[in-house]
Amino acid sequence: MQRALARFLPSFTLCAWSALLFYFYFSGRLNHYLIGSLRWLALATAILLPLVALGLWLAARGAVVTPEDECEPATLGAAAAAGGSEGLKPGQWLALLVLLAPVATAATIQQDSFSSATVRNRGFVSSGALIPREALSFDPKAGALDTPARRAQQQQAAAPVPGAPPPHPPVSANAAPAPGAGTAMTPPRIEPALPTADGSAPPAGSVAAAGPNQGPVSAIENLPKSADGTPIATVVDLLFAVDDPSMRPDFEGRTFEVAGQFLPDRSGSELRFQLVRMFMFCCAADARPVAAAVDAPGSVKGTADMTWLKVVGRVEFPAGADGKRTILIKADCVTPTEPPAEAMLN
Amino acid sequence: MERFSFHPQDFAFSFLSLLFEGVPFLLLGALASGLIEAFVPARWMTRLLPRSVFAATLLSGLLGLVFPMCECGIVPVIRRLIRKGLPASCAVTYMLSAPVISPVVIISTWAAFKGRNPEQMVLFRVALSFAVAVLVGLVVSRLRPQDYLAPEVLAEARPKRRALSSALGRAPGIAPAAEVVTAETVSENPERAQALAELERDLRPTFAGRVRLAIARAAADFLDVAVYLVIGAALTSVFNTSVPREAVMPLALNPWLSVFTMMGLAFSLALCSTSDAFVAATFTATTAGSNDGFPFAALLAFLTLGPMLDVKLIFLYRLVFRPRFIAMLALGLVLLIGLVCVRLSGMG
Repeated sequence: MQRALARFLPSFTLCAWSALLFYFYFSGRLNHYLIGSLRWLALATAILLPLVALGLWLAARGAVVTPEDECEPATLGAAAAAGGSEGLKPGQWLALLVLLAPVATAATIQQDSFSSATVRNRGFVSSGALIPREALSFDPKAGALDTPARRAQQQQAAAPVPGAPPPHPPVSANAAPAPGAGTAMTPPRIEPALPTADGSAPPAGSVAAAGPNQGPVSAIENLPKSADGTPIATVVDLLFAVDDPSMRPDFEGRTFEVAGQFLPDRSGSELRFQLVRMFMFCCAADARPVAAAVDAPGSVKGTADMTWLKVVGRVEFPAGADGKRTILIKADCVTPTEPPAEAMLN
Repeated sequence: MERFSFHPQDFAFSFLSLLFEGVPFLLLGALASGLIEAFVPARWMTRLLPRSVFAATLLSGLLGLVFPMCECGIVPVIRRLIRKGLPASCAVTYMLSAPVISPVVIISTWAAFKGRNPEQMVLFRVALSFAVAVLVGLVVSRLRPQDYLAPEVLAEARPKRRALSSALGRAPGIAPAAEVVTAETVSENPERAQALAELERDLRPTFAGRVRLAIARAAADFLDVAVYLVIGAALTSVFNTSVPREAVMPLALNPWLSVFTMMGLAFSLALCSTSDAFVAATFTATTAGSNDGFPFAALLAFLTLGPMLDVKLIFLYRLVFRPRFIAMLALGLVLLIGLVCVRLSGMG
């Protein structure tokens, strides 16, 4: 019995890993874990692993002679390839349990994102120099780029996210509270009502109309637009702009729509919060938050951490006491929104 | 600021993402290892090597470009190669350099540091790893095999290695480790010599047999190394999600502390060389001298020491070397890489 298990379990483990990769790839959940260029490698691995498992199974049955067979198999792999003729030692059983840990972890994981505590632990990216320039939503010289960020924006505008919870109606500052408001899963109402810049209430279910952008036509005119024509930028675009004097005029004083997650400001202010978007270099483990400070038109007290928000407002780059410029969005409207297809920029 | 706060869901998210990212590279390395094992005879390597100790060691430092191998998979391989007659000095150099000087690792390092001066990191990582591996190999060539090889490896030395050594006309300096097996040993163990010859014949399978052997070896290597990848990813994720960067960043400001802290991380995280650059990249400072990340030299120390020495390798090295030699090797690597990187750190 033990010998049979020793033959079967290693191949089973490889197949379980393959199934895990297939599931995450085809469910779209892998998008939250890996950048686009690494996802196809994960798919290729999912395809190859069962073949490798089959090879191992045949080897175990036929006891293919491997160099390790010259002495007693010391490792799980060697024992598996030798057909488990000696059964598995305690250490090799332990190794097998370790290999099954990812499957158990995947079965218990409930969220494909980080909590606010971990986001803060990572530390905000303070400069665009840390982020590849390809992450911009547009080419500052030639026009809009077909980047993952832009594709995600377009997909977001075109269709709801597969597998995502049913869309909530956009809640404007003075809309009625949604059932269950204030929980982590439900975009909360922002209380008290957020007035618009001119003091009037925006129509429920819509973002406030942005004023016409001033200035000469520039590359950012090729940014994707919202339904009312407001250009849609990412916090990464703003981070590059704050660092780059040549890009700054394209953004400063103009109105943009920016999506991100809510984090309360460390000052404790009810009128200011951080709009955060994670940027993934290769995988979620190396993702770091990029943030823009937002001056809300009303109190944001009671908004749950990491709530997805759509902010429409004027972008400014005020200089601090040390002369370093920071990103500030003077919001006209703050609206809960669905997470984008690519929740993390990459 | 809390120094440590564990969040199980965040840990799970980070843990799975590291595995999803590392497993494809691991499988790639295991398949390469299996194919080499099945289709490339060890003698090819010995035939490729020049006679001069120095030249042979230098060439061994570049063998990873042709015979790529990750640091976990390479230990059983060099054990096999030493048995088959590869000079131990060359084997040690290959063992230390191949996990870095391989196409897969060069590409993954480049990808991890993309947008952050990748050519500089790749160049320095490859150059320093090569220099350290060659230096250690040259030192080993001056030692007697019984001073560093594990008794089991010496005991398993084959008579044919003596013959192979003679046939190749090796210079004394790069005499195979099996040099200790004398002609007397052969005459004293004719049955063993006969059995080994038969075994060698058995190890010449058909093409289909070689493919089966390659897949079996790849699967075995994958299983063995994946265990350490899972453990390494778990430890990394605890650190990544529970320890605020602000708590570690003060260490980044001092050249000595930053370099040795990152080497300590490399040792304890035990990451695979095919994916360690992705983890190192998360510690990158925004700009030189800024306090939001570790400096270049500290990351270089992380990426150079990690593939040569870590928790799992200490255990794996015991398959080939004596504990005393492993301790000396560890001390030498830490001091050598540490001092070079501190010096580089001082040069900005």
